[in-house]
Amino acid sequence: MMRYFIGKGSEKRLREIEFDLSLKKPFSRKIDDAFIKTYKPVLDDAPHRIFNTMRDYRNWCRSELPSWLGYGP
Amino acid sequence: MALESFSHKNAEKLAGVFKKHGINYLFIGKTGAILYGFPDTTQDIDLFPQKDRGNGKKIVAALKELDFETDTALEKAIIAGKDFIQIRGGPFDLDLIFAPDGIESYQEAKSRSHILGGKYPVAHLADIIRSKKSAGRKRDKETLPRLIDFYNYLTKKGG
Repeated sequence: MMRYFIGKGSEKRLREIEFDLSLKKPFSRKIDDAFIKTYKPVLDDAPHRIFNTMRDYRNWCRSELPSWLGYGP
Repeated sequence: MALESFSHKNAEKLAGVFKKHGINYLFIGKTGAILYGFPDTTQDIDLFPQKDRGNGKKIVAALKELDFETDTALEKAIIAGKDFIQIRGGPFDLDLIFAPDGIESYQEAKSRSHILGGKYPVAHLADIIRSKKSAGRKRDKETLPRLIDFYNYLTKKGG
């Protein structure tokens, strides 16, 4: 059942309520609510990419991906 | 690129096929956190497989059974256990991370992992947090404060 709060709760309390509600979801719902497909430029434009090292992967992310995707530092 | 979002039916099928092939792996990253119940969103599935040629061959067979497109280069890379492999040519987007940041070994992570929902092997949330801290990406830095709060909340609840 959904609970409603009138007034402003503390950020910590609101976060705990959010966690509590999420933990009560059935497993299938946790998954179905969480995975959302959207197109990511460059990243989604090849069927696969292989990186020998994590350093290679990080360098590729920094040099090739738009910064707004958040894969850089 | 996958046309549809990953669903619980995909998750069940993935876990079932990987189990049938006897693959050693863990869910990791935000995917793993979400399986613990972390309320957030993501797009691709992060798996941490054991780096072992036999395990790699099993992964290739499983991916084919799951209708992923593979070619010789991809199959060789999986069998060799290259550090990071992005796969977009399948029913859902999948990252195979054989050497995740901040985690010393598969065996160590496996020893601390949990089976969630009776079928999903997931790295310990503390390992997921450690890995995200080590990666140092902008997107991880944004997620980490909430994820750490979630971990503390779960710990407090005895989860």
